[in-house]
Amino acid sequence: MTKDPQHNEELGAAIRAAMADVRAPDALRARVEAERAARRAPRRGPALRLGLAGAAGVVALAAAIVLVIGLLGGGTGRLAGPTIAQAADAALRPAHGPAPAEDVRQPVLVHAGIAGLRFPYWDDTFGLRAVSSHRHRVGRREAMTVEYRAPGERVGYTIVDGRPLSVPDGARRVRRGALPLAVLRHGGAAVVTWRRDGHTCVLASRQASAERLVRLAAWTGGGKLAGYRRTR
Amino acid sequence: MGAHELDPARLGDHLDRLYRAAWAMCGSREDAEDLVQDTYAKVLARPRWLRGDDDLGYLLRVLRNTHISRLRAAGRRPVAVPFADDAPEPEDPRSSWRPDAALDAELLFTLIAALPESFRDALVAVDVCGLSYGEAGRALRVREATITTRLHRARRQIAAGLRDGQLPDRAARKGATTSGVLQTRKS
Repeated sequence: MTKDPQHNEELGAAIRAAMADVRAPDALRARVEAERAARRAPRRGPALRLGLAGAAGVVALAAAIVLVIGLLGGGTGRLAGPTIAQAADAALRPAHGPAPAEDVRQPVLVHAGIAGLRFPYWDDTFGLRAVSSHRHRVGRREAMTVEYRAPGERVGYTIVDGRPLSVPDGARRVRRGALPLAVLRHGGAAVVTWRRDGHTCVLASRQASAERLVRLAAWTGGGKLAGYRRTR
Repeated sequence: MGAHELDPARLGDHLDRLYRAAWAMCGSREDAEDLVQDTYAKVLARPRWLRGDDDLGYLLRVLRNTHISRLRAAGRRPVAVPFADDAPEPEDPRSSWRPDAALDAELLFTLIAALPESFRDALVAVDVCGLSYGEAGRALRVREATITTRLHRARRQIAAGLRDGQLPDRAARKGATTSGVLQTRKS
């Protein structure tokens, strides 16, 4: 191992020099800041920490402002609503709430829902078990996410209450029966979005293919899953 | 040694180095971005008290564990390789790589990602993240002497890869550097 120590050290220095110019992209920086802002909890540490916590709050607020400005669409002056990308981020984020149980009276549903829409029970048909659920906000909108898991696979299903969110340019449009869906990639994950009763639904996964997400999205439990009849 | 709390407000200070480390582990920019975000999400989920770790060393360990978990979830696992001292020595690269040559970072990331796991961890900790040998040993839970050995061998393999990778055509170069050296498999 000591055959060429000098050469080895020189190679190490060359590697370090080549790495020095590689910086995290701005998009990743924004994603991490958003993660930090979302996770920031009230702190109950010693009084000495208050200054730091305050400073962290200011930084988080600044980051939030930067994100909001970014969502204005390049400063067009019109306040934009939440985006599919934000909903997909929520779907991809691990949920920490309780696992919703199967509805034994309607075994295609679980006991979780928002805006009059229930989440599907996929265990029997797709092998995806609902492992957690939580209510949250996407932008200013009420939303709910249920996390489904199978071995080696995680799928997040988010429903955003209120008017439909705009589908981003560049999304691939597909149709399953009467149901129109949009397929896109976001942050390395497959994302599918469609509407149920006018509310935006988003499925996102880093393991499942877009085709599988489309099959999941189009599954209506034999017509028992509400919100699909009004789709055009 | 006393414990200190990891300060979320300072996590951004380490983003560039963690991104480089993630890219070196994954071999792709896109996967690296996802890995870094998952790592931050995990670290931020609750307050973290560090005992005997510096922040970067701790973050690097979480990044590495998250990477392994993601590989498992995707059904891929790093191939088990012989312990560093038993691994075959690569060909002596001195005739092919010149110390004064500037290195292509993208090619480097591809080569580092293809290293055996234990070699890669040592090289990522020291040459990519800039940890000292001692800090790297603490972060990876191995002795400093082990870091020295693994780092030495990792660099020799990189040098051998650089020799194979320095082809005029970029596409051909990419093919040459990835064929036969990737250390992950689909199960």
